[in-house]
Amino acid sequence: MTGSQLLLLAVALPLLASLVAPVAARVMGAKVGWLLASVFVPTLMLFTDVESVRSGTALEARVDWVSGIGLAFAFRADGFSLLFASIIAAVGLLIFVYAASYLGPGERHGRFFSYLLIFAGAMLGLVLADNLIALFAFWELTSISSFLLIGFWGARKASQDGALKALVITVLGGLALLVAVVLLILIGGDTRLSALDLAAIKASPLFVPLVVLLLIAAFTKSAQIPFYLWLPTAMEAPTPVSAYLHSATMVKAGIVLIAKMGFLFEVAPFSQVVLYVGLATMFWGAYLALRQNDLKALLAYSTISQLGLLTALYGAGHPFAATAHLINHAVFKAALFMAVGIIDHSAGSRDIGALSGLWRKLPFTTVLAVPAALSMAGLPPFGGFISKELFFEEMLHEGTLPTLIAVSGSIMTFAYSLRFLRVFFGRFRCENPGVHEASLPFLAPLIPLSVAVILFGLFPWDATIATWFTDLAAGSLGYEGESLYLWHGLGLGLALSVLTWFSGTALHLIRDHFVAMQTRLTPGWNANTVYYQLLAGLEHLALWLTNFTQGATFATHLRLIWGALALAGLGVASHAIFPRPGPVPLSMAIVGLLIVASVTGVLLARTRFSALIFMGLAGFGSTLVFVLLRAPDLALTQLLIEVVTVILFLSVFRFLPVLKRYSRPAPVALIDGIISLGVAFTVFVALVMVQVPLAPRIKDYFLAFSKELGGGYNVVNVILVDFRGYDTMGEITVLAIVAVTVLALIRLRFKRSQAGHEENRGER
Amino acid sequence: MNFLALPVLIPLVSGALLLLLRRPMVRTVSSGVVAAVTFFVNASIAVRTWSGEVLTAQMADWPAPYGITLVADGLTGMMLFLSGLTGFLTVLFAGISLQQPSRRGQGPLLNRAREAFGSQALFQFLFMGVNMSFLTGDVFNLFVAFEVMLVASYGLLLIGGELPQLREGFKYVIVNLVASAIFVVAAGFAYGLFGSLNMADIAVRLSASGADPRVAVVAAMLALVFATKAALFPFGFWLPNAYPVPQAATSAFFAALLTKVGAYALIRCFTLMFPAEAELKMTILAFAGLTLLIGGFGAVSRRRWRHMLAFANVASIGYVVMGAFIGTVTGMSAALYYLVHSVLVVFALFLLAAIAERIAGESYRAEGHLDVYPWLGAGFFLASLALAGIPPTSGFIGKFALISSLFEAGGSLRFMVAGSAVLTSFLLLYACVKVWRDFFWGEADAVHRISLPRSMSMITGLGVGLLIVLTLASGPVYRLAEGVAGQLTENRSYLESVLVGALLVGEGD
Repeated sequence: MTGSQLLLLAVALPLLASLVAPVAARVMGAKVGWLLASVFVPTLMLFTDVESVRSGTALEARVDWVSGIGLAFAFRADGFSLLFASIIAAVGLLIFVYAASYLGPGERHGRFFSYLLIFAGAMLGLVLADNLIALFAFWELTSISSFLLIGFWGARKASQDGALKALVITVLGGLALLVAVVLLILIGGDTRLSALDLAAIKASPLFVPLVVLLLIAAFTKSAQIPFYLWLPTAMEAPTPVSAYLHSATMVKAGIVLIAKMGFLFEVAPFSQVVLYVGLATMFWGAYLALRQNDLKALLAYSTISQLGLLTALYGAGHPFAATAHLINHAVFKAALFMAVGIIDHSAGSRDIGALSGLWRKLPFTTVLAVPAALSMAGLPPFGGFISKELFFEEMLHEGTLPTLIAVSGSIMTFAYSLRFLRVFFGRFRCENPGVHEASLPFLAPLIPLSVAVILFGLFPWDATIATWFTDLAAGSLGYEGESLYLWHGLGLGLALSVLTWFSGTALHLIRDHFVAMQTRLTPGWNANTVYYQLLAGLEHLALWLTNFTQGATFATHLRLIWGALALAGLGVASHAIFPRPGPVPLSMAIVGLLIVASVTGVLLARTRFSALIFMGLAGFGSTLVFVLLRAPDLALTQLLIEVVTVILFLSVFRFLPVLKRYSRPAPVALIDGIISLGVAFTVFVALVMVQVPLAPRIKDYFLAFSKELGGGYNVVNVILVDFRGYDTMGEITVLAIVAVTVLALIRLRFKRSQAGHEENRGER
Repeated sequence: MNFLALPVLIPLVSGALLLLLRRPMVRTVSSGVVAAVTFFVNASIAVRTWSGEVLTAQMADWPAPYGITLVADGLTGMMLFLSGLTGFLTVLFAGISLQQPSRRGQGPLLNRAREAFGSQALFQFLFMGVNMSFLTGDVFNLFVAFEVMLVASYGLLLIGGELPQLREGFKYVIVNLVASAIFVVAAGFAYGLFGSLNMADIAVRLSASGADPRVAVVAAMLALVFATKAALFPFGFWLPNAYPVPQAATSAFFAALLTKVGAYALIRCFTLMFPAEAELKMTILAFAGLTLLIGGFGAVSRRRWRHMLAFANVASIGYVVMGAFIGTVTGMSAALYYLVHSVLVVFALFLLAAIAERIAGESYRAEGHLDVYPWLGAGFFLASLALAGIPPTSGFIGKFALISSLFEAGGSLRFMVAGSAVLTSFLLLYACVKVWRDFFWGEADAVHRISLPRSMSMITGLGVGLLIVLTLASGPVYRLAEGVAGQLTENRSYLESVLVGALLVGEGD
């Protein structure tokens, strides 16, 4: 199998497997997770081509889908994409194994793994996509599948709420990305990310909106201020989902975007914006993490904080440090979430206040989780220390303020990491008497993660471990492949680290006072309340607008149509040149007055009977018009119609309710009057303007051939039954349909009232 | 080539015959067979037109422009194919809706009464009117087709005689009669001014006569009529309350196809006869943008499936008209692709809604259905994504193409319309997700499994399956849309085929 086939398979396999998962789960139950973990094999096998990728030739694959809009499944595995894909695949594989133990027997395993596979496939597609439209498609697909995953326990209100919140925020960001992608393609002149015309993009007047849209997309997905609020409530998902979404995947999508499109953010104001948004998020996430009492919530806020750190590093143009930390974070955060899942499972609680000293009962979990937590804290000799150190050094380059924020954020990070560790140490406390160590398959996925945390810390410079990964991305992100070192020498960076440890420990010790202060400082509103208010506002707006438009009386809907007709005439009358109408014969003027008078009579009539008389009169007027135009047959037809109409009316008269008049307020009457006159004016204008046609009318043909070809002297009749007989067939059908409908209405109602409304009542 | 009249004649004759048949079963079966035949005829016409050929038929052999000409170009073919397909499925679904009483009464019994009083025949007459309007090349004949459609749809709306049906039916018929009145006046003026009623002939005459401000009056009147039919803002307030009231199959066909006839007529008029009316076209584009918002917000404000979907349908009309009036070939291609998608997605969603109503009755408080009806959930979810234009569905392809065409064409109005298109897709997704949350998620305790007629689920599955097929076949379908859009812009072959052998006014002298 060639590299490019493998690349296609890497993305396609999880998506295809999602269709099979429900069937497989019916047979295998939760253990299907072990089998399904194999979908990540093709991605990991991409490493067979790693040397050529390293030397700068990216793997490429392409399958066209809709060439009309340039949509193709075009993938391109450069160093960074490959690195990221391998993280997604490796963590994914472990998560699938983990989930097989986590999910109880009563859960809907098929559905769960199906959702998770869609998500994994979308994520792999997102990082590997080269076609911008496909990239957007995968981006949205991650939002959709995470909605399903977060709401997996859909019976719970909190799950529903969390899922909806994640969807609303990430899809809104997705729409920003949609427009950004459209603009990128139009300005950049290519649908391939790797082939965009950078100079044209930067020179375009739409450059600023474009970058802003991209940033909104990245910030929503990666939970940056002010969009972070969806992440904590996403913890309603089953823990394997949280471990996957919030360590290696979903939330990193925005980071991928920032990293991949870094070339757009280099420009002065944007790099600063990204830097400070990232730093602010890092600080704020850590600040909020300190307050949490739920282990999972603590990790959630910690994730927000760490994402801020990554955003700041990539945004300010330090891809090396960022990539190093990205790897570290994926590893330790996945391990920590898994550990929390195990604790939750066996202790039945995630409450930090209710748990401590768990190492006695959960020794293996403790051994596996502690390195990860220390890595999060930034202690040597664990991976997190190294990248945290790099972070400090880069922030020192950025200036004093960034350094200050970075250090204070890290102090709080250290403090909450200690707090996390508290559950393992100290006096044993757990309300669940049945607390027990997890089974080996449950624990197994943590082992490689913890080993990685330690190896990355102990042998960072080794070309087969961490440095190997950071080097891989070097080419595509444009940095020199540097070596990672555990010992950076006695610099300001180390001093800051030491400061962090001591202050962090101190902060942990006085945490109760700190939290009390936090509580006092908490305002009555936060991002969440704003979100709910906005959502309620949206609902209100929708209801108001719809009731406003739908609730308007039926007459108003008609006013709009007639009003538009009136406007049509007015608009044209202003700049049309009218042919001079010829003289109007006196007889025609009299008949015209008669018709106008009788129609006015219909409007003013107090009883239905008098209205009917006036209507007949108006009809008689139109008959006279035909007489004056020397069309006796039409006049006869018209007369017949008028007579029949009057007779029909008279015959149903007694069934109709008494004629009621609804008074309308003066302004409404005025508007209606204006509209009516406007319509009359339009018709008048149109009548005048058609007196001289643009081109000769085709009537001569009818006059010439009516007898010869149509076999009739009466041209109108021949038109009706021959030239345009097809029309007449339609009109006759109309009458037939009306007859059927009227019959049905009468008979059906009649039958129903006989049957005593049986069927209508049902269970009401 | 008089087989072009078959899509009109088959439903006409069979509609009449259906009235004579006595036994419901016989009626139902023959109705289905006839619909299948019509679909076959429509599809074979469609396939021929898609190769670029323009088929014409001069009725009673009167040469154009003196008689009535039936024309089938690529656009007509597309519409015929869709009407044949959805028509066939509608008839099947209506037939099945007669079987097996649901737990909450209502449906089948009432449907049986409706069937007994001619709903099958009315369906056929409706198809006749719809096909007639797609095939005609004549302004007045289009009016006749609209009349047939109007009375048949009014009949279907009323039959059953429920109070909401009568109330909404009244508004429906009045609004449409007003539109018809304006239409017939406009057709008269069209003849008066252009001297002909044949659309191709009018096109030739107009291009020969040069710009004249009087043309705009007639164009505006016709636009007003078609905008009302298509439920375009601000003339479409009659639609959202009317469409949910008839029986399920009827509202599915109404929503999927009937409003599209208005959109079709707009496209036909402004590509063939009035391509030069730039100001009017911009106005329609702006109205389409507002229609999107009305539909999007309306969908958010409604919790009942079919009411929500009726608004969603308004929005999807907005998308189609918006694309068609961007003013570029890419915009038209996007619009035509979206049109196909929109018919299928709205149809599928209404069928799904019919099943949901069977399960839960009219109640929208019902929850927790995902565990009991996972396939219904999967279908709804997929169709929702398609409706809102979320990847990887056909709706996404259409939406992306539309928005990209808007930006490509440029201009501040188009940017604003693009904004409302983007916002609307969010609103539609939000509306669907709320239905998902309320109906599919939640406690499943109160949900009882009722057995649905297997064929009902199958047809609905087919409806959703068509969406998947469309998504997979998006490449070829989009190419088709591009071809048709090209044909609409460069209409030489249309004019030549219609006016073959006729005196081309203005060209001879």
